Amino acid sequence: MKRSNSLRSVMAGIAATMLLFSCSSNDDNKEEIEQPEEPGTEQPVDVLPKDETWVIYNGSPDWSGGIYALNDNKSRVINLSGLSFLQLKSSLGGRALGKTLYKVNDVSNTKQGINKMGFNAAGNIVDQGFLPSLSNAYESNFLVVSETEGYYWDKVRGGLKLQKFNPTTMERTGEIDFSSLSEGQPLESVGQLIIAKRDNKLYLDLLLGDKAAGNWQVTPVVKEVAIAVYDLTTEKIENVTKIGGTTNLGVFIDHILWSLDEVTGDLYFGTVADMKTQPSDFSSKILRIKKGETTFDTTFALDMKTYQFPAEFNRIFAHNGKIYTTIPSRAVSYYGGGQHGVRYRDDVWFWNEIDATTKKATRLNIPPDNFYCTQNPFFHNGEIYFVSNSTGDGFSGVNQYNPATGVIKETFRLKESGRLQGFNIIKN
Amino acid sequence: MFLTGFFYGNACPVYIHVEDNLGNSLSNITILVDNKAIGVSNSAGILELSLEEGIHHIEVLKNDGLKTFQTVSVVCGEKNHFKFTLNTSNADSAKLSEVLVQSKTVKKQIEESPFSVQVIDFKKQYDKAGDVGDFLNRASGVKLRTEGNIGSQVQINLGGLQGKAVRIFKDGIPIELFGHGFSLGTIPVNMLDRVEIYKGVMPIYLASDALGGGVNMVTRTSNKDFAEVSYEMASFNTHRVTANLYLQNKKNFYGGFNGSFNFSDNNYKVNVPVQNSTNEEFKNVKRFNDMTRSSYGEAFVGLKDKSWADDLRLTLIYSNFYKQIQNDAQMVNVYGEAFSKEQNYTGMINYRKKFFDDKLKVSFLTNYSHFNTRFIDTARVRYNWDGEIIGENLQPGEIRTGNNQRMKYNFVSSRLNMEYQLSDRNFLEFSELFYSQRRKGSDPLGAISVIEGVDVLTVPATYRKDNMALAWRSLWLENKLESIVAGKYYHYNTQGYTTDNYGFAWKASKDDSQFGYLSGLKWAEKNYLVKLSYEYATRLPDEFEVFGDARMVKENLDLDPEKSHNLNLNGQYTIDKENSSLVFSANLFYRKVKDIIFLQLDIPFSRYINYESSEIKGFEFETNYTPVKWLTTGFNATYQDIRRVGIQETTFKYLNDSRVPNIPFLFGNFWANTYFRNTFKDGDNLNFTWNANYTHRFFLVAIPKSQEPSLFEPVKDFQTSLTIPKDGRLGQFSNDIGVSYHFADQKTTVSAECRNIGDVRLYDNFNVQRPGRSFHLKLVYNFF
Repeated sequence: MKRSNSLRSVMAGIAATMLLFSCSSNDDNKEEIEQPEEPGTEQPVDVLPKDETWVIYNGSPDWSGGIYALNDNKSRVINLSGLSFLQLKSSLGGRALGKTLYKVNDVSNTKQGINKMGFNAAGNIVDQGFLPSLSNAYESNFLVVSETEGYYWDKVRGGLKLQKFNPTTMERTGEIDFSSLSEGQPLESVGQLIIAKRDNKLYLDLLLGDKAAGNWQVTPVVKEVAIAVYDLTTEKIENVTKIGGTTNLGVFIDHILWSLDEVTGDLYFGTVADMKTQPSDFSSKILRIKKGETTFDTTFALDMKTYQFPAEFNRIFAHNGKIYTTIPSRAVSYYGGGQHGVRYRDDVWFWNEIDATTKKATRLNIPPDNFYCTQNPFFHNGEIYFVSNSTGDGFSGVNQYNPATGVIKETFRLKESGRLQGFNIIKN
Repeated sequence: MFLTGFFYGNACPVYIHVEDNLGNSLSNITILVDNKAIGVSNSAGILELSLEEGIHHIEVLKNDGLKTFQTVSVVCGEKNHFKFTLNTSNADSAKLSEVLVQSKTVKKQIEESPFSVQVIDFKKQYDKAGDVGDFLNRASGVKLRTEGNIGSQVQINLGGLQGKAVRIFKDGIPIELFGHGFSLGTIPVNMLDRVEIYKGVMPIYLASDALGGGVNMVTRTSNKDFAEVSYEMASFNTHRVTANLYLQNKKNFYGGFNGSFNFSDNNYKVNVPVQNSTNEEFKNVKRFNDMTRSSYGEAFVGLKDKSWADDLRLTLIYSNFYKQIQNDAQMVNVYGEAFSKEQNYTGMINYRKKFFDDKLKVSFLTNYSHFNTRFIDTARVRYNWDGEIIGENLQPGEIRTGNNQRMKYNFVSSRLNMEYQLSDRNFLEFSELFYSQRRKGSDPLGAISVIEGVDVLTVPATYRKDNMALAWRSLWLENKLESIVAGKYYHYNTQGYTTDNYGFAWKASKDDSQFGYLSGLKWAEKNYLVKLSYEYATRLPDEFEVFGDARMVKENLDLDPEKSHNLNLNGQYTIDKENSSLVFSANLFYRKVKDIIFLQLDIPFSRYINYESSEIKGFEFETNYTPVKWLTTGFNATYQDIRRVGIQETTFKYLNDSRVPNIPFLFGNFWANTYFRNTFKDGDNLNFTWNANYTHRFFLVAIPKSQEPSLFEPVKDFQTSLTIPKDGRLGQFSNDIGVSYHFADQKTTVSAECRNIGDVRLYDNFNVQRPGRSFHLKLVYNFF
């Protein structure tokens, strides 16, 4: 009898499943099907936030695309067709400050420097100014602190000089000289890839070395990383802190590898090491300078080797003692697949939460990312937002994670609207 | 018929025989060609002379006033024997009789082939300034795009396809074998007889892996002694010299020289951003690192009309090219010291012979070229657009990360063309092109393999390809209908160096082959001409696309050839009257291209992949009107709708049917030419010319079709500055005017031109500005 009841249950289950699938055979139209509401089974209403604007950077295969602003027209499935946008040759993610957006290079992606964008009266994104770098190369990192305070690096003006600019007028306003840190190496820079500010102090990567022909990374003369700490109050270099076991802080100018934990006040930095040789004794790490300190916390390091190798950390966001980053499911290499044949642009980058104390990594139930977007996760209204592009899942969109409840929700996905190359939320 | 263009030149021997109505030869008869006395008949009643190909008015005049004339058409390669009969039995009769010899020029023969082809005849353009590219740009369906002025790179767009899809030849040999000294951007018109433009379907005699057609530049040659020099002086310190010499003795031994020299500072003004201490300001500044110097010389000797050869020619070529590099494609980044240079040495042998009572025509051409090239970008300083040094003691390299590249290239290319006449109306044609390239060099600042530390350019890379075509051509219905069907075979092999799997570096190779086919039909009546042609065309990937540069572009050994279905429908209608003519011609074309080789961007390395498919629907229209003898005028217009199709990835489907960016899609030309004879002196000739060009606005980045602005409305749905032009104009319109004077001695011509008289800001590629208003003065002198 018992077996018979089980069989009936299984059969009924199969029949119900078949009925269900027969009613929703077209996945593409799933969101258009209205679910009948039965008394007592009301689903929680999915309310889209009304007091914010979503800024979406989409991209085509050659990375060109546009920046779109969605206000009243937000939805969980977004088709950008027909919406107004600002066209860009390289639509890689920007950074937001209030209602102003900044990104590396101009709309044609030819002029090196910092581009400023904002909203017109109709609420659409428009070009609002540009601060050029004297350099022809893709190497001008920047930081916007406030409407009147910004910093950028311009190799032609001097590798050991940090440039200051006004983010409102987009004019260069001066420079800070770090020439005293020179050791006479062929390539010397301060702030090329890391410009962070905490407690009115700047934390800048100091790199002294040379670049071999054909390489794009600088090889430091001493295998270590260094952060120069500059006190903006006293206008003096307060400290240069160094730590070994890894090299190369940061990776690209339009993708910062540092994060300030607004809860704990700790400052985290990512190193990528030598991405060509991927040495195991100088592997990619996440390092820390604790709140109130100006030296590296020598008791702390997250080593990529612990989780996967060869591979590198290439995103970083810190919140309340947790680090949010991607860890690949397989060994990967930037250089065309490396010896293991796995390329960076495969669906291998899974979002993880790493506890800074236990160093335990927990994979989040979010589609993996394959594009290596120039956008870190960010915190907004109690949730952390993650950008993903996944070929296997056919997903280009954003998921939001509530670190307090552990609930993950799909914020939105793009529908036939290109790759998602960046996302900002602007409070109205 | 198609071989004719390959076999023959532009001037040829003419044999005039004068006799009386009884058949007796008449001596001492004055012979005038185009109203100019050329000579008198000898005791056998004969005068031998050389005339340029084309129609001539020949008059024979006896001392007592008796005369007759004929309008003849001289065709090189044909027996240009013309007999004149003076009716001496009726001495007081000076009645004129006119005989029109129905024979076709090479231009007309080629244009009446079943293919979509246009021929630009340069014979009457030698007094004009500029280079070949200027003239090509005025042809319908053709858009040349340059990155500046003299010496800059030129790419040609034909029927919506451009770049490597369009093959360019010099006398049937790929033009890259002659070096930058002989290119669309450097060759003055005086060096060429004509240019043949094949749109979409390539003729058999130019068998090659051309996806979208090709251009064949036919070198100027002659069958009579001649010597000509020309000198052009123009704005931006531009100087151009050409020299052409041809000498032939009675034993048919001949020799000659064709040479050109170009120099320009290219220091025209451009509007560019100049950084200051706080930001940047746009200023009009002179270019300061764009000097170009090129020279090209070919000396040849040969024998004609021997039992064992109709023509055997040995040619030796030297060319060199030096070019400074001023800016990037967006004209934002400025370089003050970078340059490239090149020397080229080429030897070439050409053999032609007809066998079996002229039923079999054979032409064989082979050449060997050696190149030395340098690309130097080692400056440790940086410049601004004012030419001032703004940074010192920096890493070598203004453009990227520095280059001190020295390369040696060896090329071998051979072409065999054969045509066999099966019957009066059936012909078999065969053509084969073999091409081999070997490259080796070094760059201490360039790519180095990861583990071994090998400079990858020191490892030789080779590339070989073999293209063959076999065709059957037939004439039907009293030659009004002509058909052709052909099969083509493409094969290539390449070997190179790959550093793909880090830790390993090895030589790899790629070998592939592909079949293609074509067909064509032509129907010609007295006043109209209709043609339909089709080719399943192929372009093989080249060595760079397979192996990259081992630096920023990685190899892809899985690349497939690009393929395209090309279809053309041409029509032409002529209204001819005694002193006027009106010609309408139109071309509908369709291309369906797949496996387009696309540079997939990535960091740190990009690679070429077969990615895109596109569909092109286009229309060309041209009118030439000659209302009176002294005036010709006309216009042409081209619209080509080039769209991405077949995007499979859901993410990118929004770009389906979007216009392929960065290609002009609507453009046209207008012109008027006048000539006045005997203005100041009998025999002189005064010409005025006006040429105008319009290129409609186009976008540099793809736009979803749903948001594409219509042709003549401004951009409304989005904000962009990624258009050309980006200043709000709907298009670019420029005008050139010129005047030339041919002195009565028929030896000297002086011309003056003003280009871009409105000083309009013009762009071709991305945002690179072309020169503003320029002035040109040119002198041409014929020694004999």
